Amino acid sequence: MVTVGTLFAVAVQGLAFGTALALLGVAITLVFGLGEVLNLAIGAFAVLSFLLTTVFLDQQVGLLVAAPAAVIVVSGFGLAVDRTLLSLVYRSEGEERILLGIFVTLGLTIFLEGALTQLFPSTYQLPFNVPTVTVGGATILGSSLVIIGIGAVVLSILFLFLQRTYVGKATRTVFQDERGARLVGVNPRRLRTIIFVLSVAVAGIAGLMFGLSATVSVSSSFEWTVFALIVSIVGGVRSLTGAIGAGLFLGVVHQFANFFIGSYLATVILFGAAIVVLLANPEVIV
Amino acid sequence: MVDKPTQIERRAYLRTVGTTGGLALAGLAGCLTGDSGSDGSDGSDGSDGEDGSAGTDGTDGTDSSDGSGSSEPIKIGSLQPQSGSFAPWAAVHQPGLQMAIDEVNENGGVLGRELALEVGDTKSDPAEADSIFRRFAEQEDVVATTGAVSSDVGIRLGQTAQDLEIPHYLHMAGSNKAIGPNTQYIFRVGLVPAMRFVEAQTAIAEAQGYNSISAIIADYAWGRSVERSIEENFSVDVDIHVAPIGASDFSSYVRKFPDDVEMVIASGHPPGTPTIANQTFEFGYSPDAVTGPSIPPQVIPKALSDEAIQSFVHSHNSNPYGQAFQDAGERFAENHDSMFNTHTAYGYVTGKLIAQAIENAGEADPTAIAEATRNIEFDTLFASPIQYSPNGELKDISLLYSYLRREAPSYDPDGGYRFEKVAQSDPLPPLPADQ
Repeated sequence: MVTVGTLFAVAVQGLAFGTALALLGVAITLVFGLGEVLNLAIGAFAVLSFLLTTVFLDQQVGLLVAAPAAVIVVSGFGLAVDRTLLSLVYRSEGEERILLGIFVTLGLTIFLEGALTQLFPSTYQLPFNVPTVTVGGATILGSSLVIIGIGAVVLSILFLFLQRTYVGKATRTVFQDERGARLVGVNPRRLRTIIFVLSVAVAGIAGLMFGLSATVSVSSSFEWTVFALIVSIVGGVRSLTGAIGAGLFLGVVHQFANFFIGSYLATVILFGAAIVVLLANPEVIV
Repeated sequence: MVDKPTQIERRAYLRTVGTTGGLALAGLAGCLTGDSGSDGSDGSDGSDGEDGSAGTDGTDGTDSSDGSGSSEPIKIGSLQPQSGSFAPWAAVHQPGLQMAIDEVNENGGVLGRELALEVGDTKSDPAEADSIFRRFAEQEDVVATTGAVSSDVGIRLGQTAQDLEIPHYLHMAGSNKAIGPNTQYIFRVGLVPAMRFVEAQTAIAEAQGYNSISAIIADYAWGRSVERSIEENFSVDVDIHVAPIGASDFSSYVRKFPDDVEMVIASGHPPGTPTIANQTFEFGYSPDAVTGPSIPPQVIPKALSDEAIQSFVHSHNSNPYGQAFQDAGERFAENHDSMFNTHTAYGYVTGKLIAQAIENAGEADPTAIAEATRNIEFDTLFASPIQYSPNGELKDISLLYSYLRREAPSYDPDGGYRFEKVAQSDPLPPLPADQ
């Protein structure tokens, strides 16, 4: 007999998983929406952030120092990628840019995974011991609450940035009409750099969120990239709010399916939910 | 963020993402490597970034496999899962194997010839492993191979070894199906078959009087062998859950454990063992023991929480409490940054075992080497000498159980963990050929 408390606990865990999915979805949507580059290396950046955190932890710094440091370093790496590889991509326009971006980021993913497997051949977990919380008979994982909290803060900051700052408003202008943005003096290339670095940082945070509740290996990057793609499709390829909503929705669906049906079918259901949403509302990706 | 119609149509986006998905599956699943970016076909390095082979100048066309006075090195194939779920196993087995090869060569080699390794990345995939084995046999004239970890790979390579009549020495691959009644060319080293593995745990559970036991097994050959063994050996009803081999979150299974669970058997899900252990304690359970599979121990201290590591029991054939093991560990520490552990020992033992078998055979002929292996009694880093049944099962091997403590061992002051003995099984008879 499944109790209400257990259902509540599974729902909270679903929200936590969904928060990490939402962060990935936002990260991939930011870059595609602004620069029409489908960043298939998003999962690799997330894994890199996690692995750098473990490296810093080996230097005897605490998690509160290691994690932000890792996100900063991986963001710096993202900046380097933007100024080199993506500069080649941005010379193209339209569908040509999309295809070139796919191949470039796919190649980057393969390179990163091969290099990281050499250096990090094992599976890793962050030393994170937050006690569980019991609410009315429901055992809520401490890590779930932390993930939801951090995710909410990160997404709030992101939205404040986009809504209240000059750079954020300029970014939204480019999203809406790049030519018009140029006419009013906005430099789209510089904004794309800022947004790409921002998306890598968000992906890095997502990687840490995943790592709070499960072990991570280099091979996790492919799975996370697929999650990001599903979330962006369901949420709308240019909608950050859609990506967040889709991430949370799919996270809850996945966890309930995992609990009641099993892991195999839970993954199938995740893809199935994405297809159902698309069939019901095709405009989400227009 | 306001959505506006864009130049990119829905159909184009779906086509692009669909193409991307196909390319990603082909590129990432097929091209992920753990070595220098090649598919390991030139055997030029190992999985830990160190030189994992010697004699990599390839063949010059001379037949070097029959020991007929040739000066060419005797080649051994190292079929390692350098990428995929079982990469951590390869990361320690390969350096141990290489160390053994180097020591043999420093002592004059075998039959007047040096040994050389040809290393390939199986990607934990049976078809890839079979392909690499056959290529090594046809192009490199290997006289023996080693490295299988996943039971699926072990089962496949067992068939390949029989076809090619070239022995394979399993690193892990504990499925009962890996060795059959008539197998002549496959030999266990690091892991007893699932039935014996679980029997030993049954003895521990009965000695402790555990009545509430849960298990999570992976849906592949080893996991299903463990499941069958649990059902046949345990006298109490064990609460068994089946998870995909690639699962990274086991909370939905752990939530269903009985509140008073005393023992958790994670042995049936090697890649997921650390997460299972952590989540068991995270959900507030407090079992006395969480038994793992034969997982490479370097994974454990970094992956387990402080709470979980207190109860986690590591299973191993190699004996870290013996002087031979510790001496090898000291030598290993002189040239490596990583620590010599129970799985490094499997690679080391395999290298020495193959060398001894060649010596005993008197020729570098695969069939003769296999025959010599069947008749060998090889005292090494295990608690008891290695002996084999006629079909390649380990005979009278003792299984050891240890806790891991986050302190350096005596033989490696820079090591990150040490072993603390919990129990040792009685010598386990080989599995009957018909099982």
